[in-house]
Amino acid sequence: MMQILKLDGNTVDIIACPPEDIRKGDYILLNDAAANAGLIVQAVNAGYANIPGILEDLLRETSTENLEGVDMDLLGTQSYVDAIKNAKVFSCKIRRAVVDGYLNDDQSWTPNRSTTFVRKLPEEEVLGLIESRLEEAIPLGSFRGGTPVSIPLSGLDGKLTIVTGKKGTGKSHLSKLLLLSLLERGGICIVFDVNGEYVGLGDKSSNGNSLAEKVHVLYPGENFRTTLAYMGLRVFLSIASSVLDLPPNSAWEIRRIWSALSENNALTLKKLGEAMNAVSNSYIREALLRRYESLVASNLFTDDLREASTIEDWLNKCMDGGALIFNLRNLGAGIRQIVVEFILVKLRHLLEDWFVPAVFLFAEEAHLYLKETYWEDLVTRMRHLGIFPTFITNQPDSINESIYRQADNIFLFNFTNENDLEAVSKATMTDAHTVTIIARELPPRHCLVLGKVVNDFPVIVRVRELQAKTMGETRFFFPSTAKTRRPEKLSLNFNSTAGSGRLVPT
Amino acid sequence: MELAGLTHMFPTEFLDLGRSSLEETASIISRLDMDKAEWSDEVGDSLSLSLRASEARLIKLSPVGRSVPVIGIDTTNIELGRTGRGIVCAVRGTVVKVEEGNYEYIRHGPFIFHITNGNKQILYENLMESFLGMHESGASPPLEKMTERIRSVLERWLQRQISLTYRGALIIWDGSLAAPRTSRSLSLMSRMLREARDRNNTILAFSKKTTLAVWNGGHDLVDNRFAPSLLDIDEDARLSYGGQLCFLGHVYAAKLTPSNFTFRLDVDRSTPTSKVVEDVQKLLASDSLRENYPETLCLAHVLSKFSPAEIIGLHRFIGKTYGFQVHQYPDVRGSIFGPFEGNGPARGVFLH
Repeated sequence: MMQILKLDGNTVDIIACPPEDIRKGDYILLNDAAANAGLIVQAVNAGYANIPGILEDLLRETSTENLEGVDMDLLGTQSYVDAIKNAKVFSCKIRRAVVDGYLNDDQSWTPNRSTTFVRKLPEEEVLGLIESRLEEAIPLGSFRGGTPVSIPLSGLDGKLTIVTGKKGTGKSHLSKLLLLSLLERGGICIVFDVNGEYVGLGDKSSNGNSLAEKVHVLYPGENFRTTLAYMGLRVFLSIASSVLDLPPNSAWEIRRIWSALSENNALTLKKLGEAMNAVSNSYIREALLRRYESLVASNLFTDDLREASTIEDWLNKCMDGGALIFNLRNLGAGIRQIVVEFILVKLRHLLEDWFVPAVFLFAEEAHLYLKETYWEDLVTRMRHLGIFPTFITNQPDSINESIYRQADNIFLFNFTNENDLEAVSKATMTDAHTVTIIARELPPRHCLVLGKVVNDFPVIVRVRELQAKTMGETRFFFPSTAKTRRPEKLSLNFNSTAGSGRLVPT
Repeated sequence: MELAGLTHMFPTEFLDLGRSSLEETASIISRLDMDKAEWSDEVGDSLSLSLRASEARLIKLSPVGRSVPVIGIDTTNIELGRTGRGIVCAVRGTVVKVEEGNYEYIRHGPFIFHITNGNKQILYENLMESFLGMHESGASPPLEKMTERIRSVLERWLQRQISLTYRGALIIWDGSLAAPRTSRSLSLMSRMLREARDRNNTILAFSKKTTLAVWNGGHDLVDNRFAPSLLDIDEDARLSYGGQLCFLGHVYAAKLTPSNFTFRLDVDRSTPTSKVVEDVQKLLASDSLRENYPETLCLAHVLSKFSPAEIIGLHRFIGKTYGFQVHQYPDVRGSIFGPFEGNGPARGVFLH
């Protein structure tokens, strides 16, 4: 039986005796039938009830440690006593009110303590809160009890999503699941793959990955090169100023050179280099040549039209759904920035021209290649143009607080570091308490889903398996260590009560 | 014999009488006008003795006795609440044995009773007859005293069962071997002492309730320097209380280990002093002492005591099993002063 113990602001303490199997993240309904209203609350913490004299009991058991005996409790009262001793208090956060059978955001209503019936919401009912039967949905995984969970496509479309958690908890796995689900439904996705983790999705030999055909892995400087003419002066200047820190007076000079070469139909890397070398002002010449060398070093640009391709070429292959994976793994930091800047500016132009309606952008560890000034641009202006970003990071403090505030969805995996938890807890879509307590205890492959995709009912989901090859290709010195470590059965003796202070019952 | 082998030794009627009282199936016979004489062991325990230390006889002990089985017995009772007609109470008793340094216990109960003015006499008679073989038990005590009396019956029954089961053991009682001269318990206690003697058992009765003070107002009767020792205070006790009480045991003040307390120890009066010394030395060799008090008895007390969590659990049990609802929960916090002492106001008001 559960009862309301305490109501304080947004927090409700519920006492359960005998203790019910309620875990952190579970939902509880406080149903005041008399008022035809209720509150939906979520357990975020659990503890033992402060039973009077429990210290006495524990001290007694301690003092009878190592004492074997027989309890002739033929009335069977011990189970009742145990129930009292194990009574639990669940600290819950109010998520929504229910009035006349409809969800209501007005949580100012207070349930009557004595007439309110408290019950755990089964997973099927929780599903009813977060899922819409009318919408197309993406199967995400399952609740703890095994109930399958899907998220609506509309929860991702046009939205800013953050996937975060410490290393090895399943962030990239989830990102790949979202990616494949989107392209399966015709979505166009761009991935900045900083660790080469997504390249396996394009592995056509991988069993079960029917979508491999839709995944195009691009290696900038190798199978993805382009011409200066395709880049255009606007993109070049954008890269030169924001990535390569070109001074304004040098920018004027490059504008002059570029226009001249363009008019003569001689806009090649070779000619550009020669023109820069011919600049009389040595200060400007040096500045231009240094940037030029960076461009050449990126190997992204070529004068050979047979080697060159365009973003449009690749996007055309994705019109029925597809993903362009830009593998940035082996690129230096500067070159990575050039590549990303080039793609984003080009994309912006393509979206402005309605070449494609929108793209889903997956950016792994974006702080490694996106300048700080770019973030806000990406989540505000570019979002309205049709770039819907998903940031994936294991360093939550690398994402600006303002980004968290604008995030529509957060998929939060396990964190144990206090600083990381504090950074994530700044997200406004839920309270810090929920984040810090639940995220700390999430097992691998489990995430706390917050935001629009779950109708603002935070839920813990075990992310489903994928058929595709999802593992990144990590290099090992000792190949045998590459094997995934399986949990081994502990050699602890769980049957022994020696030294436990427990009395031996009959 | 291990205590675990004594599970057949169970006060079944205790269980049945308790159940009956809760189910209100016990036949109700009101005999309130019967003999008013009360049977109470407790009176013999609660003495206040002022002693002239220098005049008393100090018996030095040596902790080199032979190790023998030591068995401590203690019981406890708690009033769980009031109903419109009476009291709901619980009793529990524990036997703790140490042999060769190994401690073990057997715990009986809790047994729960609903005592009313209507059923207390029959309940009392049944208990006295079934457990103590006393056919002329007299009038039952007042309702308020019944809980204590039921506990006392359970304790005597356990003490007797242990005496009849073991040979050559030291049996530690909580209390004294004195009782009011008019008490019906005298004959019972005499019988139990005899039964113990017949089986070569020795009963050592430790009393916490007797206040012992030296003549000059000092705090402790026996100086720690003399521990382990016994102080023979039998004459003082008899001179002070001989008119009212019958002392079936020889009364000593026991300082078995240096500590803040000296306890009264009663040993069967028919036991020669040399045997007393020998037996107490066996106790020193066989059992641990906690603040001068035998560990077996201490553990028996600890295991018998009802904790506040247990009290709430018992309320729940009664409610679920017999339909009693606790209307007003007890102030169980009152009972946590000191981890193992004081039952506190555990009363609730039951609606049935």
